[in-house]
Amino acid sequence: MLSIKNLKASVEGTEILKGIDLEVNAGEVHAIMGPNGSGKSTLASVLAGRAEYDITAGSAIFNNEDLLDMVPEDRARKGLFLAFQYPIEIPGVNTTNFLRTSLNEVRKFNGLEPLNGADFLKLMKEKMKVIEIDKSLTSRSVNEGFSGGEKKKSEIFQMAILEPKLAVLDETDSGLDIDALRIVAEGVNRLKSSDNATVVITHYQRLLDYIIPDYVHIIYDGRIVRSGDKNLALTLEEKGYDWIREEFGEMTES
Amino acid sequence: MKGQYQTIFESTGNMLPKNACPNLASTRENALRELESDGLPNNRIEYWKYSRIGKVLNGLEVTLDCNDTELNSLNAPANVEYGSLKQAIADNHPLIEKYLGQYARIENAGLTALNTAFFSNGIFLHVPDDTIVEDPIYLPQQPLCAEGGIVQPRNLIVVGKNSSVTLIRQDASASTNAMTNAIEEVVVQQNASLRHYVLQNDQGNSVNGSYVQQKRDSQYSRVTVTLDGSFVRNNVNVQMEGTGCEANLYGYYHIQGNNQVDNHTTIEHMEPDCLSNELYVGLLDDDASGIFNGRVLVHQDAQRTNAFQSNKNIVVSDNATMNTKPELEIYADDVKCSHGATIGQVDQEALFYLQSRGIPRKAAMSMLLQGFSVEVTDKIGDEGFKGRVIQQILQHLSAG
Repeated sequence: MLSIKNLKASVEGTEILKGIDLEVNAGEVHAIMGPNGSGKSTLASVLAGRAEYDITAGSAIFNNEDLLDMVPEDRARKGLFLAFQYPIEIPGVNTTNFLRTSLNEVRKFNGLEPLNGADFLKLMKEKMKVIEIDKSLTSRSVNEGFSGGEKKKSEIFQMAILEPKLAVLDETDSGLDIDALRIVAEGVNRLKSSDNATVVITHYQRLLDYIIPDYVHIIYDGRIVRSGDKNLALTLEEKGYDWIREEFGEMTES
Repeated sequence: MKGQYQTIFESTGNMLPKNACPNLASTRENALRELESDGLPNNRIEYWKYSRIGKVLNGLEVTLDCNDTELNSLNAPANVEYGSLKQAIADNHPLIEKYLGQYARIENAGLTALNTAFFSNGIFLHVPDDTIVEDPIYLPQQPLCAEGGIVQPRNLIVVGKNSSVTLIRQDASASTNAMTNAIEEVVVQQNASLRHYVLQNDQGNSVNGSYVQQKRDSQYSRVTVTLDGSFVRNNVNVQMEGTGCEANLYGYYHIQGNNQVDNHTTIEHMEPDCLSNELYVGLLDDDASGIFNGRVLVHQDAQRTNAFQSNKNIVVSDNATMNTKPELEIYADDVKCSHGATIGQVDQEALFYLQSRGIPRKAAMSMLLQGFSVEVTDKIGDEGFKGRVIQQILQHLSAG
């Protein structure tokens, strides 16, 4: 589904990603872990198409198409979804209108009829139950005045509506209390199928108690330095990120 | 030597509506005198510094030649008096004698003086005391005039004690080789409430002066939406002469092409315990030019005044300009006043967020820009009119 090869990216002349290789297949859950500043969120941003990053080398192929060549909206319409680490507040843009526009743009692109108001509300109601989101949020402006937890839940709710092929969750667990974390994780698990894939970016092992990954990758200084199964996350939790710094620290200097 | 306006007045004066009341005659004479000494505005006057008024007035002549205001039928209680100003003057209506020309200050205001000297028609509306008008009253659009002329429509609106009414006016196109110089005087009596909505859509040249006089415990809420117009200047003046008043002035403007939209407001707190709230937001595109000047004057007696003002602008193109200026004059010591002005660009983060959900850049941009107007359109209390305004705002955005 997603094949990343030797991906390098920089921002304002500083190289952040220094050669990322990653293969994600349908039905898989990948966790990407790493200390602050290692490049986790940059990878998510580059995949979604944020403009401020320069791609200096490598490729990212998404379902046989060059992902890096597409504008952000086309990436979304082809089934990529980024759950933002810091969802943006957009005053004056109503959440329901936004979501309906979004879904219908994706549907139109894929040759489907747009959903009318009534059908959309029905779909929304259905997905609201899955994510346990408060109904009042959808009548407000996008993310405006939402609490941290509400913002993260709203991201997963959007994901439930859009049903992406590949979801990238960028530190969706940060700022969540344990109940919100459980709800968000359950939402993600329920949306999981053999046709889609999830990449979970996180700093802590905690989220992975709820979303069980098939693969865990540790990113450090812009590279994936170690990959393994879910036990790698437990090892990391036990030994801490200093273990990685000690083992791979010299790479920074070299 | 006779002044130029005196000459016009003498040749056309007998076409102006007259009545027996001495006030109107002397009001016109004073205005004429003021006009002869001050002349019409130009860029050397502080409040017209960034304005294109000079260019607009160049070559235009004072005219009485305009179509009569067409009166629509009202869905209002029978005691509401509504008709042409001409008729009210002819009828010697007591409120004409009492209020016409009393609040539209002509000192250092050449165009107000011009209107007062030469107005020939407009609307007279009187909502008597203790009258609740449920349905909004749609006032007819301002009259248009012949090419090359400056026309002076004049409205007098009086909302009686303990009464409540919503007024809506929609002004449309006038020629770019003519100018409407409109003045309205609005009296909001004790404990009365007036909601006043004005939609200006693609006008030619117009200067619109509103003089709102608020008595004790009255409420005045105005929303002005301006969708282009080659030259539009709105002067909204609110004077709160009693205690316990509330005034809300809201505005939205979207300016494109080479157009200029200019909102000047003055809110005068004369007595204690009044609240004023002001929010103007706007979008400027292409080579557009926008002006906001918000003057708040708190007199020495006006203790415990609350006055808030905000002007927010999004400049979409590199060539558009915005001049914004808050002007607070505070002579009382126990007040809460704030003001803020911003000129910014579309939030790139928000744009990316919408794009990342599959919404194409252009549509995402429209969504954000429309979202910008919501803060103001939300203040329109009449749902039907609000819906139409939002529709026109969207149309204007997609036309750009």
